[in-house]
Amino acid sequence: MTDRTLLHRSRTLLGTDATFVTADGIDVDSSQNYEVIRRRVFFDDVALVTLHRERGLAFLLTTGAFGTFFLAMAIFVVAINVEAWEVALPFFILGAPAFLAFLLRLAMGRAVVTVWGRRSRAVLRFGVFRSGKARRVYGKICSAVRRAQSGAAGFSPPESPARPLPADVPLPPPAQ
Amino acid sequence: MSANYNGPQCPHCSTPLDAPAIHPGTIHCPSCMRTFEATPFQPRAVRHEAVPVVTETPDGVAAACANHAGNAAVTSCQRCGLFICALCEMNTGTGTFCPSCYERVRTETLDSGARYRDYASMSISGAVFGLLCWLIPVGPFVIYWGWKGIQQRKSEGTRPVGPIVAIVLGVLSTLLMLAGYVSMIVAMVKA
Repeated sequence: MTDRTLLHRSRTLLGTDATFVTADGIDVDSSQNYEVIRRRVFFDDVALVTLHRERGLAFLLTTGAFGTFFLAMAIFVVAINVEAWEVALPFFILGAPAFLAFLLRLAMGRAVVTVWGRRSRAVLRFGVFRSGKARRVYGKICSAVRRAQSGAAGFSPPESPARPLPADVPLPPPAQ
Repeated sequence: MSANYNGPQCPHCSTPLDAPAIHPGTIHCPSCMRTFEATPFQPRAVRHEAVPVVTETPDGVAAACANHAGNAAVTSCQRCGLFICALCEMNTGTGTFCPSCYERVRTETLDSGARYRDYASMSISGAVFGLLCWLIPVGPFVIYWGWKGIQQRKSEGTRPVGPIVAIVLGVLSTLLMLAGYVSMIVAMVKA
């Protein structure tokens, strides 16, 4: 593997995305079912870098349904018999974190940095409270792309190299 | 690399963005009317220069490209071995491919190094499963996956905390399993 540093690691409901910075681009390793697929975006290929906030419908639906179901169970048990709060407690413990995550995501959303290349793209998703890090990563990627593309602008591919002279060809006589 | 990716889009609704719509600062998507912050860049246009076949080089005759008989081959396809010129060369960063192999690689993501197994996650999941179902011999596999996970994490330059914890749990579940089987055998012998 080439030298690369971890930029960000995000977990989704389906897998893990680890983003690394290399000397010439960004590697995104997406892990699904214990198999990692690597995608690469070169800095000198980047056309656009965006930063936006999203809520994520799948996350909202899953945590909302899970949290609501278990909190409803807890409330139902307590409503039937207040003395049986010990029975309702496990339902509350299961449902409350999911419902809290649902409310936080619904209220605040999460920051997403997308690097759009000509042939590929990289998506970096940050947690609800990681907006500052998202902005730092956004700035870091933009400066790396700017540096790579300003270096590339001055580069031009070499012309066809001149054919070397055979050693046995005599040099012309010196001018009189 | 996505097979149906065609350049910058709105990050909210995936509508392709026209060049005039892209500018630095906040962009309002004309399709979904939502906003996002953007920094556009001008990637350098790739110049492909084919070298014509020279028949009288000092080294002999240059190999011709398989697709363009008049162009000299600059490299060969990593997947099929075809000689290709600079016009046909498709460099993905993980290898050099001819156009037809590049399309396959794009759709199937078969290029070497682009697909590998996540041993660290396997070891952590295996460790949890091994502790819950400690009579099933998962522990030795967890130790092996954990060892491979440590090597992977080290090569990535990250700390291998997860695989180390998984190895400890794997050893624990192996000992639990052995103790469980021994106690069962002892109980059967006594009975």
